[in-house]
Amino acid sequence: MEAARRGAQSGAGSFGSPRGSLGFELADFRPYSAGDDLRDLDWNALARWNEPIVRRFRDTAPPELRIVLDRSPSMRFGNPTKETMARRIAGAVGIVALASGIAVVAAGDGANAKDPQSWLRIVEGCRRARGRPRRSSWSRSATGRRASGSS
Amino acid sequence: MESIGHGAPREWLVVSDLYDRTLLSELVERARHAGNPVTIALVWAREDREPPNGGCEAVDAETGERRVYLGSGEADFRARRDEFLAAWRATASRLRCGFVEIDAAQSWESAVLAVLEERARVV
Repeated sequence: MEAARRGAQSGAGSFGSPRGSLGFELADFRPYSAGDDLRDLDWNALARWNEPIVRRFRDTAPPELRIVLDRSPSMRFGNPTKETMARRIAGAVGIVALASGIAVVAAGDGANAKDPQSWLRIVEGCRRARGRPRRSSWSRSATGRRASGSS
Repeated sequence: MESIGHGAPREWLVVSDLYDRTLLSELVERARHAGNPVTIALVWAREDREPPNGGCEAVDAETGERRVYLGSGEADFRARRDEFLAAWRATASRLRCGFVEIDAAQSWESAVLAVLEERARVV
């Protein structure tokens, strides 16, 4: 939590690695010190200047929000159904996150919904879902095993 | 489930009625132990919260199990509901997750705002 909080304070790339060496974008160099990962050692610099230098990388992995939308049968209960509200929440939060530059993933089945239009369709899907239980391939969430019948 | 905790940190939002306690609590535990912020949105239907007047027959939507509640079962209903809610609140508190309750009948705008506010608190 503390790491995530620290990352969040740094703005863009809010999930950046606090270690600062596991990403993909070269950030800077600094002298080797005990405990540094030898994989980060710049062997060319060592050969040229006979001085151990390590490369530091910035974690450039984009922040990601994973939404687990429960589509189990009990969510079809109520009037309006819990599923209707859940879809609206997932869709709206997904749109807000995308607008903030956060990649959004519907957890469970690997389906990515990375554009606002797809999330709008999820919100709009509430209307179609109303009154008749239906299940799309998108929304087989981490609880999908339940949704398919085996509890 | 296996992928939780691998790779870059992620933020999680669980939107559910949380009736599958085993699976969902495991998911939340794993995500939190991987250092990922988690927000849980518990969605209630009115019938989940308030016992119906008189008797009723409750059907477990997942297992098909049927249970008859007579008028006198109201106290039992409330006790089970409170126990269920307390257990999830305790889990969220222990794991330092965001936890917000949503009424399926409330306006969806207020529901989304409540979720976003809770998310902002934990991220």
